[in-house]
Amino acid sequence: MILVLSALILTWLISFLRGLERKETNIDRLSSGLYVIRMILPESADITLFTNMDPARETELLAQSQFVLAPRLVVKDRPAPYILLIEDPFFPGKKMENDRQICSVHKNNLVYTLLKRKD
Amino acid sequence: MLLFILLLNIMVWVITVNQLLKRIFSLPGSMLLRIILSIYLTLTIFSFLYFLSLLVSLSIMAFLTGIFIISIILLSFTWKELKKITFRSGTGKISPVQLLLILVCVLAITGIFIDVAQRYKYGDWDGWALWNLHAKFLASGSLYYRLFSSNLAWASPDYPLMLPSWIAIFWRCLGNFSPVIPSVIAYIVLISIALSVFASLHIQKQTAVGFLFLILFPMDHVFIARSSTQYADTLMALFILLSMILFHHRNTGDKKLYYLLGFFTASSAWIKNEGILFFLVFSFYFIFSSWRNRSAITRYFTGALLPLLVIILFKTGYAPVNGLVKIQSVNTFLQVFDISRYIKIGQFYISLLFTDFPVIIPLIVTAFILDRKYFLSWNSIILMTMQIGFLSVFLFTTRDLTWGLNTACDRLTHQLYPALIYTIICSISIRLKYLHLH
Repeated sequence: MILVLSALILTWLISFLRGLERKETNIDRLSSGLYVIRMILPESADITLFTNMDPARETELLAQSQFVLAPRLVVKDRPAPYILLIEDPFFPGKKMENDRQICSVHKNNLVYTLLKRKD
Repeated sequence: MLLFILLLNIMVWVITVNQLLKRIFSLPGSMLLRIILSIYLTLTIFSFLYFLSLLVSLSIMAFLTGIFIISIILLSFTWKELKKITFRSGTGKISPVQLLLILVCVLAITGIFIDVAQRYKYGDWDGWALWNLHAKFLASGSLYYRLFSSNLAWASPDYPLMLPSWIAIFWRCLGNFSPVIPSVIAYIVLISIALSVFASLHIQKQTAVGFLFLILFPMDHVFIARSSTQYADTLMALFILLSMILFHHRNTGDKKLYYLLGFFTASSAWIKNEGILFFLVFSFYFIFSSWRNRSAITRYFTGALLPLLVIILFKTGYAPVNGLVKIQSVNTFLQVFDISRYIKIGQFYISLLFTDFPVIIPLIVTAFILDRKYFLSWNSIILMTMQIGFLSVFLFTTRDLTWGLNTACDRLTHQLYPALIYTIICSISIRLKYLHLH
């Protein structure tokens, strides 16, 4: 009986943890969208984040991007060598004419663009 | 492969540390509590060593080799005793029926944890934006220092690193940032709280009371839900609880127990900044209660030495100034004279007790009826001072008071909750035992 209960607890936990890993959250969708960018960006990179969304959504994206891209630093109000532009295609985009586009990914209803700042 | 080496190291450490603890804490029925203490003593030392290994740019393989060498040394000290171990521990052992009941309670807690934790793959907001984020930086190895950049001021980089370092060690050995690791750690900490209280009551021959606690524990959905958020508050609650348990048993064990007491109390400051307050408050009252026993005080601070050295190194060399401390000015100190703040804090706290911690009020009333001396005991004074200290923080906050109370008051009370329940239960059960005998 003790063994059965122990096995039940373990089985239940393992099943839960597997389900947890497969579950897709906003962070997973963001991570999926930033996958190519993560491959390109060195781990020591600093990135300025721009979006075309409202301030609340932008703040949330900043925190989530920082979590996904760590140990790279994602900043909002400071110029950095790289720029990450996350845009909702239904709203007007930001013009980044002076910077060199490296790549752009359209995933999960958002457009992720990585640019190199022209000094 | 690295994960296997890590788990093997943890197993060897826990077995040998448990054997060493047996020399200083071998009361009948103390095996479960010793195992819990061994696990957290081991993991805490790993946390210190991992942080120090980052500072000297050691690779993860070098870190694992280092702790393996230490485990061999520990094994050499305990080999003769380990050879004599049997699984029958004599008086105070748990019977198969009791073990079955414990497993049923663990099953119930597991079920509720699974139900609520499904919402938090990466934890609640502070879980991923703060604790797991810190862990990611620590897991990056040589780039750990970027955590302390001024650009991350919003992520509280001054927060101590015990929980993030545990997560980072496992992530580095696993080779990926699996959300399973923080969730498993949250689960183990939760179960440890329940079993620690039971284990201590079992030592005090209050096993029936311990089982009553285990049976009622799963009914506290709010506590279990908060534990599943992957915040460090539950780990803080565990270390405060373990400190109070060791304090309760200090006169029944070996005098070397004071080393352990000092270690766990000081290590709470490596979990959250509130732990610094806990260490200061506990130490003050400990000195006051034991001022005639100089050797106990010496042992206590000797045990606290390693955690304090690491914390001082972290706070002086790496962590930026705490955000709350940084923005203090004369105006924030003048808030102390604002009576409306006291009224608001008091009303919020009492309302919180009824909604989120409904057990506290009935327990306090029961203690008042059965054992009023509890309120003059060191346990009660320490915890009450801590709670007053926590609530006082809201007097000095420059942020909106309502926002501060809504986001932090419940978590601060959560940290003291298990220790408060434990100390009241111990007090009431001792009193009932006395009344029964007389």
